[in-house]
Amino acid sequence: MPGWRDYLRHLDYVLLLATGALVGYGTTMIYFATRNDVAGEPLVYVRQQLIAMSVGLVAAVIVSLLDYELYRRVQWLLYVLAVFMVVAVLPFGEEVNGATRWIDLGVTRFQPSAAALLLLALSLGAFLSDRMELLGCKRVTFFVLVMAAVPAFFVYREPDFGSSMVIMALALTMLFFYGTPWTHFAALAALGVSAFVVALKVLPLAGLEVIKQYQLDRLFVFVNPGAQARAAGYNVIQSMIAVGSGAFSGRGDQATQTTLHFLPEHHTDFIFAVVSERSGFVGAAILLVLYAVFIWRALRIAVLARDMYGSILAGGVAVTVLFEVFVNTGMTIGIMPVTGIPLPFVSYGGTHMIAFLVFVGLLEAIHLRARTAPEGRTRLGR
Amino acid sequence: MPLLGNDPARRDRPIRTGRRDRPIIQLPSVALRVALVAALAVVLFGVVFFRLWFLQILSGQDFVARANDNRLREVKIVAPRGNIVDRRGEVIVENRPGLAVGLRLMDVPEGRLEDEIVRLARVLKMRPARIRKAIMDHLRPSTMELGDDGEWHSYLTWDAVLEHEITGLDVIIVREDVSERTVSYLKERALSFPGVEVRQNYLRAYPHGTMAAQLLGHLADISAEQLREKHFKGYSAGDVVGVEGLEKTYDRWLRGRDGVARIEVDAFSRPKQSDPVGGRLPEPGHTLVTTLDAKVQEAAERALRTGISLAHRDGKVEANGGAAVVLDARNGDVLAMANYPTYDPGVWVGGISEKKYRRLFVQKGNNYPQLNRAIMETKAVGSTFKVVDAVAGLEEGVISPVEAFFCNGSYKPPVATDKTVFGCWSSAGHGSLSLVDAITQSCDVYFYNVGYRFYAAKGSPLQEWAKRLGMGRPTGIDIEGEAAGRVPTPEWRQKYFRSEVDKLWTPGNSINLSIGQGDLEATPLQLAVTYAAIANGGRVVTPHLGLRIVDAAGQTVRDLHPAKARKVDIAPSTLDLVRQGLYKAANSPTGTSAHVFALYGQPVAGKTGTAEVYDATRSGYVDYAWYASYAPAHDPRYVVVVMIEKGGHGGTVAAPAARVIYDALFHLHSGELTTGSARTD
Repeated sequence: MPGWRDYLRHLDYVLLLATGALVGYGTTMIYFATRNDVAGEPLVYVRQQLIAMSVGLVAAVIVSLLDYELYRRVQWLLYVLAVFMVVAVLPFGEEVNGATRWIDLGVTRFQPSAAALLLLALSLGAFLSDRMELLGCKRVTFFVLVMAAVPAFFVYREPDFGSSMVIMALALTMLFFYGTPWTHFAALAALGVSAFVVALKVLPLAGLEVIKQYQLDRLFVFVNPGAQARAAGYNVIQSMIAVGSGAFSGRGDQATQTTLHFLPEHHTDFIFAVVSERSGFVGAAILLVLYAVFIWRALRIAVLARDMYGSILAGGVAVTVLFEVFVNTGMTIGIMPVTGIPLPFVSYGGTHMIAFLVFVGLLEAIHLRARTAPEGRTRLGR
Repeated sequence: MPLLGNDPARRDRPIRTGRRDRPIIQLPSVALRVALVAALAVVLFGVVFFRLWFLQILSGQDFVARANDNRLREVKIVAPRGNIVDRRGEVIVENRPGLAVGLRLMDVPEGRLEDEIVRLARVLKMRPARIRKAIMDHLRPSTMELGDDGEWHSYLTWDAVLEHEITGLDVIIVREDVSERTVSYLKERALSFPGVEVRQNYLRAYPHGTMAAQLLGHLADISAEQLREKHFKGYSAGDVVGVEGLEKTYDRWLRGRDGVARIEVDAFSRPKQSDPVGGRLPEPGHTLVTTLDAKVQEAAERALRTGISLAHRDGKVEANGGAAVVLDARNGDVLAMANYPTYDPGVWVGGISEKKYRRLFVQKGNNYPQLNRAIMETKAVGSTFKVVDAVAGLEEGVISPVEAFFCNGSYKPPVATDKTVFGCWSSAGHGSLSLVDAITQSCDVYFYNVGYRFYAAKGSPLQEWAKRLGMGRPTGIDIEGEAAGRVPTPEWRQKYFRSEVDKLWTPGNSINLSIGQGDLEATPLQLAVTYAAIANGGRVVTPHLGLRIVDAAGQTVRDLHPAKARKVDIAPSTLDLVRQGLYKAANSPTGTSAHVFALYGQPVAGKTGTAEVYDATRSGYVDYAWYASYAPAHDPRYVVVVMIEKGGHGGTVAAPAARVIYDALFHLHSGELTTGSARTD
């Protein structure tokens, strides 16, 4: 039985360093973005974030110590819990700006969709890795998609389109690492495209409007933000001004877009614009490189993993981070729709931070188990 | 289950294939899928990097500029406008500090704007609609966006303003020139008027009251039409500009340069610090020195009142308007340009209500005091035109100085289309007269003969001379609205009339023209220019009101040189004869205005005129009294022209009025002329 020595020896330190740098960078940026938001209390957001980070750190350590085999045994409990949370937020949640995304726990606010993402990763990964013998069966693909779609639907109803997209992306990624045949993905893609066409072109002709024009406008505003300079396009334009004005080396304390509130949501969804304005191309590039390192390490762990559960989980985490980073940064630089997906480890938001730190703990657990497996890598077939 | 370490039971279960030779299959390669994800990651990161490169490195400076546009607001500091003074520096238009009430939309709580406007309007005694309009007009230029059709549209709506979607930091002036009392009322109730602010600004003031009101013009917010005018090129919406008159012509000099305070604001347009980040101080406007002489101008306006009261005394009770022009005969300086009736230009200050405007300027009963009759009203000039006959006749060789015509009180042209007989004003007749005497006594029959000879002459030489001497086209004075007048020619008749009979130019037309009647029309200013040309030896001057531009220190910034006088070749002998006639008309016992000027302290040369003008309201002709003159007769310096609408005889009404002006010009005190005067034209 490996002891503390082994534990410390087999941690993935590159992953830990990348995560630490991202979290540190993010906290610094939240400080600069919000120090003038509440008069006399420059640290009000940073403090909250630090508390969340401490909780996340403890949780991550615990998770890394536990054998992730544990989650396989309670996978259905985790799944039911995930669905319960996203359902419970609708009646019990707190409404902010027309969206019900948080449950007030008294001391802090809790975002079920972020926690559900973590639980779904664990339960869906377990579900799939338990069914390696059914690889290639359509019903597995179908069932996993339905399992993901149920919580995703409730998250969508909050409404939180971005988080529901992340859940679906996670499910698809896990199917991908599970080994789902290409034909299934091709069929899904065809289905998606035709559903899109039907919803957009055919049904309106039949007098049934599934998607309202303004929703479409909002979704595609990034194509031409100037056309809706005051409404949906405002955020995108202000964000692009912030990013662009950062130029090569950033504006530092002259970062007026952030400090004078031209940039909305500057500590949450648009934190990347804050980074880009303050630190310029250099700062943004450093941040992106850190993410690249993170994804590289996560993918590496997926390859190393002791078993398919570990591979699917690690792959799922890697792609989730990639997805969130691309959609979030893409939105601030005007190449993706504004969907409200946070930037992992950097955006302000306690539950999201804790969930992603737990993901890191999970990656470390997988890494650790792979390194200390009695027969080395014991995946079937070797 | 051990916490640390590996669960030995944990193995991926074998996959059953049903094939005996290979009961366990190879799992799909995780490595391949990882490679695919890695490739996707490279592509996505590449896209983000490329985009960041484009935004930050290639367009970075543009975005810095846009970020600065966001955070820096420019607030205009209005420059005090320059004064308008007379040639001696006497102030005609100046600034006085005034109080303006404005509204800062930012500070009006959401949902209270409508109510506040209604209450504010009540306090300011104006209609709420005017406040709304002021707000909308102010916001419109800053709410333009480029539409899909390539045109600029304003997305401004009143609802958006009410709902605080469109708001602003600037104080929108809703009412200028608010009384001290109203301001203190508002200040005492500041809490119930959030967002209402009082500003000190400059307003136009007129120390001489109604004097020269028609020449000055007034100020107003620039209109959309004016923005397109060439005169206002480079101006922007929201500018206050001179409208009409001197304020308009010399606006660029008077307005100065507005200053700008650059203020850093946040996304809600709240200023971050009280000190401006930068900007520019306003430069006050320059002073316009005019050619006017306040004393002469006042005298000219008094003269009109005198003339009208003389007309009333003479039974012409309808006389209710007039104009007088005083020119420097040598260079066209307008020493005075007076109009009756007049009004207080202070009514424009702070904006005039539609109702008040209509009551003052549109209602017929006031006889249109805004009208600058001296340059806008064209009427027949009567006998004052005879000097043109004389110059033209002599220069064209139609008459000779010694040739005499016999006047028996009436004239019948040798060849005529009808049996019209043209009467002389003196029905008894003047007997045999040569040119000088004809001018002196203003004998109509003499000039009927001249007119008929011109009818027989080739072309239209008489009309050519009238035009050459300044009639039939604007004189080019430096204020807008000048009328061209009309010198009727056979060609004009062809174009102007419809019926074939009317199109014909008859001897009667030439005969009527010779005594300044018929279709001839000129402004008092044009007549003054014509007389100035006779007085100064044939130079047709361009009358002007602007003399020079002076800065705050009194230094001349620019001399306003008018267009050069146009020289008309007139033989000295011709001029000499005409001048003799004009001198005798004012001085010899038989002269038409001798009763006014014969014993006057300065030698005046002048011609009376009694023009018959068709009056539509009476369906008949009424007499307009004219007097056109210059003095001193032997070394002419001043030209004085007076016209009294419906005033009757020139000698009875207009000439005495002119004498009031000469009193001021020569510092004489001749007293009011009360004697019953000769019935001449």
